Amino acid sequence: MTQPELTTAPVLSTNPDYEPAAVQVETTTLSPSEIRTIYETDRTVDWILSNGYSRITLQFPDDLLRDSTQVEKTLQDGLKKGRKPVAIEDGIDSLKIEDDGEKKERKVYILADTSYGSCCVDEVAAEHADADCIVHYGRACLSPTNRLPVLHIFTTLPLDLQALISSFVSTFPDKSTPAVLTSSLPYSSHIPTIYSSLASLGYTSLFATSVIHNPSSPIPNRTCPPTDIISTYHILHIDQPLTSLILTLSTLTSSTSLQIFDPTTNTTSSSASNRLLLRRYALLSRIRSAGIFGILINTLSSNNYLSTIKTLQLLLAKHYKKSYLVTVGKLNAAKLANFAEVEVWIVIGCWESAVVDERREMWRVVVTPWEATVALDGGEGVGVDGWRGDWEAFKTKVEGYQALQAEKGNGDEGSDGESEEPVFDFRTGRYVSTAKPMKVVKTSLIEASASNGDSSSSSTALTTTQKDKSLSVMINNQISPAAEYLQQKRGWKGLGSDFAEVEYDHDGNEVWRGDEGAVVEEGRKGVARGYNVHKGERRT
Amino acid sequence: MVNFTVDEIHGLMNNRRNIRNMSVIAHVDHGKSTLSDSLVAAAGIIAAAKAGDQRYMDTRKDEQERGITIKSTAISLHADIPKEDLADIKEIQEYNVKAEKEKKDKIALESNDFLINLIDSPGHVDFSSEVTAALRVTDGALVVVDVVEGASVQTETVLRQALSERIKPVLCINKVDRTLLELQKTPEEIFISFRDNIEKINVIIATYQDKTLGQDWQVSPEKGNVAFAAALQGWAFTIRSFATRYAQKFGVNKEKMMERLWGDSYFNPFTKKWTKNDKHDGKPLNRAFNQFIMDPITKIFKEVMEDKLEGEKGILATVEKLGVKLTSEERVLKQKPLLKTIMRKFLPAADAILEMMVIHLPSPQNAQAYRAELLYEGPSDDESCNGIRECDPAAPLMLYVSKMVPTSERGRFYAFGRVFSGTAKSGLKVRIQGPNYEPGKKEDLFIKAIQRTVLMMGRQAEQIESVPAGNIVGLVGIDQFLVKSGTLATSETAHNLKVMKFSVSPVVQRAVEVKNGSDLPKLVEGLKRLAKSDPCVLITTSESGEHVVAGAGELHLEICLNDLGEFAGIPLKISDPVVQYRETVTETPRDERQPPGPDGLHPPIYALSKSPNKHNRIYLHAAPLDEELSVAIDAGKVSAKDDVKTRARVLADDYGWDVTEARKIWAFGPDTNGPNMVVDTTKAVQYLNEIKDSVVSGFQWASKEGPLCEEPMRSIRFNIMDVTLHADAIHRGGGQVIPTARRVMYAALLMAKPNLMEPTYLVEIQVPETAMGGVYSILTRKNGQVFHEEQRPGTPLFTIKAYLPVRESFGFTTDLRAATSGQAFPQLVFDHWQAVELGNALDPTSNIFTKVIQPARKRKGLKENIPDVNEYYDKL
Repeated sequence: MTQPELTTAPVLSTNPDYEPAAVQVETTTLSPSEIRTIYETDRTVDWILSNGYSRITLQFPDDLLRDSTQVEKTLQDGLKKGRKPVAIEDGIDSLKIEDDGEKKERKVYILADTSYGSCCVDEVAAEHADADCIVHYGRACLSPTNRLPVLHIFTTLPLDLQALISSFVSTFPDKSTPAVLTSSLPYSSHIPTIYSSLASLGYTSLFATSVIHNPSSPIPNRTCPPTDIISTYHILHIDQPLTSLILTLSTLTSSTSLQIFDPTTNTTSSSASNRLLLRRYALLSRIRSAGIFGILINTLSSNNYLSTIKTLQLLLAKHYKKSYLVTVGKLNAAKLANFAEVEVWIVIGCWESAVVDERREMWRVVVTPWEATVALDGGEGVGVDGWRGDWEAFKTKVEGYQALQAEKGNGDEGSDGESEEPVFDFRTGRYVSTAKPMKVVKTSLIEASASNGDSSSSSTALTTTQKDKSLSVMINNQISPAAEYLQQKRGWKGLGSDFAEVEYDHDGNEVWRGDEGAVVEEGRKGVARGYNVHKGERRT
Repeated sequence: MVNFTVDEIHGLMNNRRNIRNMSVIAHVDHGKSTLSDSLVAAAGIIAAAKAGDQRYMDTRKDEQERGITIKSTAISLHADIPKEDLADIKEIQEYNVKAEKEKKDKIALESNDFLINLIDSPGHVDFSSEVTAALRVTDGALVVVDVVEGASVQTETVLRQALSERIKPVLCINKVDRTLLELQKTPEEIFISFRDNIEKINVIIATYQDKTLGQDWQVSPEKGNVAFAAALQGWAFTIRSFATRYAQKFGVNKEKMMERLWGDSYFNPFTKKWTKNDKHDGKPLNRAFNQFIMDPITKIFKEVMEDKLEGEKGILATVEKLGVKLTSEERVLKQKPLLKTIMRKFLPAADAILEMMVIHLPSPQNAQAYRAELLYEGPSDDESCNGIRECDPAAPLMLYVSKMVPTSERGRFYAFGRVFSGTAKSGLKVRIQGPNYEPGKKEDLFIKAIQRTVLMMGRQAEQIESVPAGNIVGLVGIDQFLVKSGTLATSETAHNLKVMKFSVSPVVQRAVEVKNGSDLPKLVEGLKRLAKSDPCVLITTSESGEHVVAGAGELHLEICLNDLGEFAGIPLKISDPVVQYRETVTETPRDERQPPGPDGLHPPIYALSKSPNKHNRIYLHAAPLDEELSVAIDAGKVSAKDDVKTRARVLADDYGWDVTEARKIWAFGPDTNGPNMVVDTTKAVQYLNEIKDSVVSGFQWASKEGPLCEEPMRSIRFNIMDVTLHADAIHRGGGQVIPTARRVMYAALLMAKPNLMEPTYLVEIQVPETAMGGVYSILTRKNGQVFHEEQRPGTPLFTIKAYLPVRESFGFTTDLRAATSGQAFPQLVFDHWQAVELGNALDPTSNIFTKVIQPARKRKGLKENIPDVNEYYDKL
C-alpha cells in the first residue's frame, strides 16, 4: 500500500496555532546534605533503630517522589552506619535491639501512588508490604491511625525570617495586637523563632502555635488560645493554607483578620475566605434539592469512617434521599462522572481533603458530611458559620440536631395520598419534585376515587404502591431512582440501538438502516485477570 | 351597597354564554385603573361619586402612592343589559348564522344577567409579565388609548400579546375631556384624532392577528366596538348608545343608524336626506358624528364651564330634556364637579363599556372553541382538549394557574387562574403539573386536594363553593406546589396548558445579603415569597453563593426589593445592579492553509480535546448562530420539543440550514431549551450514539457557564466533526466523555473570536420640542442609538425611539428628567441581545476585558484572567 503524499496537514491534525507547549517534567534533585536536613534522615534512623523496626515503608506525596530514591539510599546508609554508635550511647537496652537487628534484614519500601489523599497515612498499602512502621513525608492531616506506628516528617522548608518579620510589623503596627502565629507543616519549625524575635520587638499578645495530633482542635492540629477569646485574635498563617483550613480559620475570627504570608513572594495579604464560605453556602441548596447521593470513601486510615458512613446513610434515609456507597480510589472528575445519575457526592475523608472540587471541574458537586448535615437537618436558610472539615464537628452537629428534633417532636407527617411540599431550588428558582425519591408518593388520582368505596384500608395502601411503580422504577422491589434516571433520561438504550437508527437520504426521506437492533447474547464473564469466554460451560 | 351577592354570582357562573372574562390593557397613565373604577362603581362596590379618584383596583399601598398599577387585580362584576339588546350579541348572531347553514337549532340567551370578570393590568413596561398573566385567563381585552398621546410602544406590546393568545380586543379612546377642556379642539379635529387613533390600533391588529382564525378583529366605531370615554369624569359612549337614541327619531333601525353616525356620512338639512357627499351646493356639511354626537357634548362642556346654567336656555334645563335628573344638592355644583355629575348621568361610562363588552367580546364557550388548541400542549382530540373546546363543566378539570396573589395570611397565596374545563371545588383532589411536567413522568407532578375556592374581588376574596369551566378562580392550598404558574388537571393523561411566554426578561439583577448573619433564614423565606408574588422576577443563588434577584428593569427591581424587605422584615444589604451577559462567538475559525472546499470557504479549524484516559477524542468547532434563530428559540417557535422533521424543514426554509444537518441537532442548551445547539456533522462514526447523552450533558454544563466569565452562552452552534472512541465501552463512559465534551466546547469557543452579548432596551421618550436637546445629550452620553423621531400630529410632543444598552440604563430616567426639567418621560423595554462593541474579549488590555469581563470574574471569585485555549485544547 502506498500512501498518497500529503501536501498539507490533514484536516483533523493539530493546528500549529493552538499547539500547546510541551510540559517540562521537573527532575531537580537536591544535594545529599539537603536531603539529610529536609527529610530529617538522621531523626528517622534514630526512630527506626530505637524501636527496632525491620520492615520500613516510606510514603511520599507525588510531588516529592523525585527525591524518594535519594532518601531511601540515605536512610539505608544511615541504618547500616547507625547501628553501632546508637548501641554504644544507649547502653544495655539498645544492645538487645542491636541483637534483633543483627538477626533481621532491614528492608525499606517506597510507597507511591497512594490510594487516597497523600496527606493521609496509607496503612493498607503499607500492610501489603507487611511493614511494621511507616514514615510519612510532606503535608499531613495528622488524623489518628490505628494499625501501624507512624513517623511524620514535615520536610521543613526554608523561610526568609527577616522578610516575614518586617511584613508582620507593617501588617500589625500596633504592638498589643493579639495575634496567633501558625503555619503549614513544612514551616512549623520556624514558629518558635519567629515568636521570640517578634516578642523582642515588643509584641506582647502573641500566641505561637505548636503541632499536636488533633484534627478537632479549633485550629486543626495546632494548639490554640482558649476558645472564648479566640475571636479577638488576628491570625497570621505562613504559606497559602488549604481551602479547608481557610474555611475553618475564617470561622474562628472575622475574615478580615486572617492574614496569609506567602513565603515565595514574601508578602502578607488577607484571605478571600468570605468568598470561599459563600461558595460553600451555595452548595447547601443543591444538597436539599438533590435526590440521589453518592457517599464517597476517600480515606482508609481513619478510625471514624465506618461510623460516619452509618450516620450519613441514616441521615439521608431520614430525608427520603437515595444514597449509594461508592469507592473509586483517588478522586477525579472522570471517575465521578461515570455515575451520571448521582446528583451530589458526599466525600468522607480527612479534614484536609474535605474540600475536593476547588476548581469546579467535577460534573456534580462534592460536599462534606458536615455540610450535608447542616443542609438537611438545619433546614432552609442556615449559613455555613462554624464550618468544619473534621469528624468530631460532624458528629457534634448531628447530635446537636438530633437533640433539637427530639425537643421539637415529630409532627410533620404528610397527610394521606397527598404530595409533600416540594423543595425550592435556589439555584434555579424553581420547585424540585425529585428531592425525596424514596418517599412513596401518589402520582395518580385513580385509586383515590376507587378506594373511596373500598372497605379495607390495607388493600388501598397496596394498590397505591403498586400504581406508583408505574412511575417509580423498581428493582428487586426497591425504588431505584438511579434506574429511573437511566430509563428516562438516557437516550441510548444499549448495543444495537444504533442500527435501528433512521437515516435520511438526500431528499430527506427516512431510510431504515439495519435491523431493529441485535439480540441480547450472553457474553464473557469473570474478572479481568481471566475471563470465562462463553463456550457454553456453566458455572456450578 | 353591593348590588349582588356571592350566591348570585355563583348562579351566573353556570351560564357560560353569559360570562365575559376580560382584561383592561394599555400604556401607563392612559386611564385603565380609572376606567375600571367606573365599572366597579356601577356594580355598587364603591360610591359612584368617588369613581375615577379611588383607583379601587390598585390594592397595594405603593400603587396608591405612586399612582401606577403594579399588580393585575381581578374582580367579578354583575351587569345586566336591556333584554332587547340580547339579540345584538355578536357571537350569538354568528352562531345562529352558522346554525342556519348547517340546519341546526338556533340559540338565544334567556337571561340578561351577565357576569363580568374584569382584570385591571399594569401599564408600565416593567410589569408586562402581569399583563401576560392576566391575558391568559381572559378572552377579551379592553384596549385603552389616551386620545392625546395615542398608541405607544407599550400599547403595541400588550395588544400584540393579546392577539397572539387569541384574545379579542375592543377599543376605548380615553381622556376625551382633555381634548375639550385643555386643547379646546373643534368637533372635526376631535373626529380626526379619533379616526387616526383607531387606524393605528387597526394596523397593529392587522399585523399581529392570527390569520388562521378566519375572524376579523378590526375595530370600528360603526360596529360599536370602539368606545369614547373620559374615565376621570366617569362618562363614555359608543356610537351604538347614540344610535339607540336617534334610531326612533329618524325611523331607521339601529344598525343603519350606527353606520350613519361615523365616518364620511352627512345629514343634509336642506334635503333632509343622508348623504356621503360632504358639500351641498358648495357649502360644507357638518359631519353626522359631529352634528349628532360631538356637538351636544361640546355644548354641555362649554355652557357648564361658562356658567350658563339657569333659565330656559340654561344647561340645566337642556340636560333635563336629555333625561338627566339632578338632585337639589347637585344643582348647586358648578364648573367641573357639575360637568362630571351631568356627564356621568347623561352617558354613564359603565353602561357604555359593559354593553360594548357584552355584545362584542366572546363568552368562554365561544372563545375556548378557538383557543383550545393554542392553549393545550397535548393532542387536540383527547378528553382534556375536548373539555376545553366545549368549555364543559362536566369534563375532567383543566385549570391554568397564571399567578399567585398574596393572602392576608403571612406567606400564603391564592393560586389565581382560570377553569378551562371541568369544575373546581373544595376538597377535589387534583394533579398539579408544574411547568416542567411531562406526561408519564413524575417530575413536577403533585397530588393535592383543593382546600377552598374563592372569588377574587379586588381587595377581598369571597369564599365560593365551586367554580365551573369558563370562570376565573382563586384557589387555597395549591400555592406550595407551584412557584408561579402551572396546570391543574384530574385526567391522568392530561398534558400541560401551554406555559406563558413573557415579553420582558429578567435582565437586571442585584444581589441581596443580610446585614446580620442570623437573619439569613428570614431572607430565604422572604425570597421564596417574592419568587411567588411576581410572575417575572427570578430568584437564584449563584455559584458564588450570592442571593440574586433579577427583574425586568430598574423600577421592577425596586418594587420587588421593597416587597422583599417587607416579606423578610429585616435590614438588607443590596448590591449595585448588575447586567447579565451572554457569551458568544463571532466567526468560525478557518484554516487558510487548507484548500477551500466546494463552498469556497477554507475548512474550519477544529478544537480537539482528549478524555482523561487519552483514549477518546472529540473534534468540533463553534460557529455563530443567526440571532434571528436565537430569538425564535427564545420565543419557543423553534424548540427541542418540536418534531425533528418539521423543525428541520423550518430551519432549512427560514434559516438556510442544510436539511440533513438540521435533522441531526442533538440538543439545545442551556437548560435543554436555550439558544445554543450541538449538531452532529460526523459521518459514520462508531459508537457515536452511545456517547450522545454524555456529550449533551457536557454541552448543557458548558453552555450554562462559559469560559469568559461564567455567563451562559448564546447563539453558538457546536458542530461535532469527528469522534474517536475506545473500543471498550467502559473506557468511553460518561466519566470520560462528559468532562471532555465540556473542555472541547470551551476550546472551540475561545478559538472562534469570542465576545459578549448584552441586553438592550428599546427606549421610547415623549418630549416637547423645547426639551429635545437634553434628551439627545443624555442618549449620546449613555451610548444610545436613536433610530426614530416623529412629531405627534397636532401636539408639540415628539416621540423619540432609541436603543440603549441595559448596562448604561442605570440612572437613565433620573438623568433624563434632570436634563429636561422633568418634561421627558421614558419607557424602557427589553428588546434584544446585542454584541458588546468594546474590543476583543481575549485581549487583556481591551475595554471589554477591563470594564466587563474582569469585574465579573472578580465578583464571582474567579481567577482574573480568562483561561488560555491550551487549558482545554489537547495536542493530537
